Amino acid sequence: MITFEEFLDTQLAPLTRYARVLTGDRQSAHDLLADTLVTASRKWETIGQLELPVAYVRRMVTNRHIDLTRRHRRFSWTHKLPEDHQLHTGLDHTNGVHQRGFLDELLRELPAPQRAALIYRFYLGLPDEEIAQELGMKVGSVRSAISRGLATLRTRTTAQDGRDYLP
Amino acid sequence: MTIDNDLGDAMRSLASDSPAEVAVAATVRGRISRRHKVRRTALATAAAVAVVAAIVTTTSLLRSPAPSDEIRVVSPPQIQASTAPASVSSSPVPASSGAAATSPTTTADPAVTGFSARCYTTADTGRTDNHLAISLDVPMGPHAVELCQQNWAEGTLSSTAPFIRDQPLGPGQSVPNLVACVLPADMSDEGTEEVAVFPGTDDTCNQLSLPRYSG
Repeated sequence: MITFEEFLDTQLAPLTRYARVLTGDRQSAHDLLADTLVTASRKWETIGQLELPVAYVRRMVTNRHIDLTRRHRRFSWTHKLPEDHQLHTGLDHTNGVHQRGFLDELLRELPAPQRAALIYRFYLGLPDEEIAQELGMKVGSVRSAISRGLATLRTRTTAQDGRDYLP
Repeated sequence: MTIDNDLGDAMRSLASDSPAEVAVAATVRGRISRRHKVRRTALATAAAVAVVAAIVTTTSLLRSPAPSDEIRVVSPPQIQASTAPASVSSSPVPASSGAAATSPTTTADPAVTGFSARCYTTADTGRTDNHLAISLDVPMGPHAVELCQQNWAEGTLSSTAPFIRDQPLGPGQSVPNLVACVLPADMSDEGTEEVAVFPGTDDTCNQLSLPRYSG
């Protein structure tokens, strides 16, 4: 059985990157992952015996994020986006920071399950069957979520895509 | 951008901007360590209390007079005056320590400094679908009731299921009487004490065994 410390040493890096893509910003990723790992540490006797503890913890991260997204409302009295925020100006391929900001905004507009499905498919590169297993969805629901997510992204970018993800 | 082809690359670019693993690991280890410390402290405190109680009991038994058929009745004011130190009279803690140990503290004013709070739609902390988590860029405590009132007024919150509406009904909805309590750290999302605003009266926190927030 892998210990929690060994798990942190070997799996924290990929989980941190995954949480960053999922949440859309570094601070939220830090908070989400830390909260999840503290929770996971309490049940490590069980999680550590699983064949793939990282998949279980990743699912915990995803579910927590979806849950928080549904339940959270964030107010900002100190930071307001400027009127001409980058979201409305399109991709700037010459500036990585702006491009990341734009993609973050695009992904943040998607419902959390669609966003998670897209990340599993395009970032983690998992097949639909595995995505369904990890997210606890039917394969058809995964395909539908990915298709709808892609369609939404397409409508928000000026680029044209000549083919559909699904036949 | 051709989304199908470039989305993976773009997401990997996002991932390269991830928080420092060292910082995440430090946070996790620190919180686990604090939890263990709190647990150890609680155990040590409980053990100390047990030892003190045993000593007090033994001492009182040794000092007690020989059994007598005569029973001396002592009125409560006499007990308070003869056993309580002078400073106790100005303390908010009830003179009866037994009562203080068994009933929740209802007038506490804990220093809650977190940036988030919860707006509950029912006086029930056992559910996961009856509250909205809200957060601010400044300490939330003093603003929690106002922001929850705002969410009730907008129709985001409802006292009947679904308790949280994705599409608010619009402004002008009725707002129930609200009261702010303090959730303990192990019930909050942040891992620290958090303000929780419930529909109810001053007694609601007491009924939920939570301290009242009066900051």
